Amino acid sequence: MAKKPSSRTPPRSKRAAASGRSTPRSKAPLSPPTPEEEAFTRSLIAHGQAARARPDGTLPPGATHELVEDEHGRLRAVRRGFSAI
Amino acid sequence: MSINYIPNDPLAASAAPGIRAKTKRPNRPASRAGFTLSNGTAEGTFDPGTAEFLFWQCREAGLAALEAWEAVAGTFARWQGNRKKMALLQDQGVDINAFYDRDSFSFFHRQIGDKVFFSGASTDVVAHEVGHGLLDALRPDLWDATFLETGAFHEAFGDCVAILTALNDPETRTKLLASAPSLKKKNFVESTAEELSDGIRRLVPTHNASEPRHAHNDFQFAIPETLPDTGGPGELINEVHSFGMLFSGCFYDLIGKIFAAQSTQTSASLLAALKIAGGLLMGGAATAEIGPRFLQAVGRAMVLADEDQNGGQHRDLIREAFAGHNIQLGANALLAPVAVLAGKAPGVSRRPKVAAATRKDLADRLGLGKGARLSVEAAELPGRRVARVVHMREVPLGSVDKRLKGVTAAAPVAVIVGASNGRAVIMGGLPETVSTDREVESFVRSLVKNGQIEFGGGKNGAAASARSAAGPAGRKPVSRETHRVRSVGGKKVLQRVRFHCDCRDR
Repeated sequence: MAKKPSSRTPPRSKRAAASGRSTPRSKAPLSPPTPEEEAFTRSLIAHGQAARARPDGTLPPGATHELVEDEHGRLRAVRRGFSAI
Repeated sequence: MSINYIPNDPLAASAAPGIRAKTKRPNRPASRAGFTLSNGTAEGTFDPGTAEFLFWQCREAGLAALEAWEAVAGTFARWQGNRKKMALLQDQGVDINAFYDRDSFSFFHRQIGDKVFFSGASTDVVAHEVGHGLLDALRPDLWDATFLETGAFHEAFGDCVAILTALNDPETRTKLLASAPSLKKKNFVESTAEELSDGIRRLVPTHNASEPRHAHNDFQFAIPETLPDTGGPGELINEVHSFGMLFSGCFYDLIGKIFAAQSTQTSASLLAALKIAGGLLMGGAATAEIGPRFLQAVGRAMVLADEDQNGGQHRDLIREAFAGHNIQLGANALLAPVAVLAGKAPGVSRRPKVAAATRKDLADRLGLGKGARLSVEAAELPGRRVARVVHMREVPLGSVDKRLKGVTAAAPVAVIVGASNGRAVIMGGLPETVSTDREVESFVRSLVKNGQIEFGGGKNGAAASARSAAGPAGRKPVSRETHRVRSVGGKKVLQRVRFHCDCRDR
């Protein structure tokens, strides 16, 4: 699916970072990802729903997951929210 | 004073209730979870497109969603994180989407051509996002779950809450029954977020989300990654919102089946059916175990919830609703694909062929080393022929008894390999090797305890082992051995030599 057009800069990560309250930064799991987990991450990336955070800590429009590296350098998708479409 | 309110989506079909002037819903009681509002304005019957209308519309839709949920699930007291309030932000800037992120429910606006789209003006969209918040309060562990089906269920749950919210409205039920008496046709309730999809359609006509999501659908379950990543408007693809339609389809069909089973088909009996189905949704969502096949897990948990809530009265209807989308909940789960494998679907003639890539993937999943042998045979399951791949696992028995040091027992580990969208898949489930080992060890331990193992092999060895076998204390040694340690290909293995029914000692 083509990435959905959008010009929004999501404010949620900024708010979460400022409040330090919710949208917890979950620890990336250390066990190797299962094939199902890898397939999910591929789907998220393919649809623009997983991306690395921008320098200001926000995610690109449409992203519900942040791509982070775990302690072993493996790329993981960590949820930051849900979207309507 | 009154406000203007659209109880469905601004672009719902003409059969849907239109804008209405109504008394605003009261604020949530202090004892229950509610919203923090911003940029409020005095009550009034404002026109759509104005900031004043958007404020009251978004507030009313959020409260309607909570009211609908409480009608099926009881008092809702806390959001995720034990919080009483969650921000409801009706216009957070430019986008054509909506978000829930544990801080807020955020909605947006975007001008496309001569029209400005406000996602917070759709009761469908607001209820969908509030649905995420409700599920997050019920199952915060789903937030971090890394399976596509858990994400898809979250999206489906949002759509289900939108349907609950719509059908909790009396005028909506009346108008729905007038246009779709059995619910078995496309309608403005099962179709959600029509206006948002219209906005996307104007931007990218071929976008998958340019068609509203439909809970009335005939999509059939397939393992997500066997589906294409992209697809035309409304097609089922490997993406959480799209894939969620499988579950919302099951839920919508369940409402219809429970409604049809009522003695009369009226607005009141539709509400009754809604409450039953909603209660089952809540019960299933609350207890389903997280795993790759989460939609099936929720369905099974709904069956158990029905036992608890209704004495199992709707068990068959739940199974039928899920089976209608190829999600098997009962014994047929043996036929359900559970994980995709490398390689194309196996040939299933008399001599089935399983691709080398599939065999290697299976070997990896079973934790087998290089050179491990896998045999392939044809198997018949009701209604279809599949391939059965068998690995003879050598289970070490040294930990069972010191006389069995260096001895192994062969345990067949069988995996049914079938097809899903042309790809090889595991059907039913993958045997868990640790459990296999423990089962074998437990069995051999019982053989040792009952003196049923002939140690050493050969006639002399057999006689000696019969005398020395660890039979029950004080029991005269008898030829009760059913198993013998033999040397096969230079390896000591435990093999059965006979069946024995020695009932005298029991």
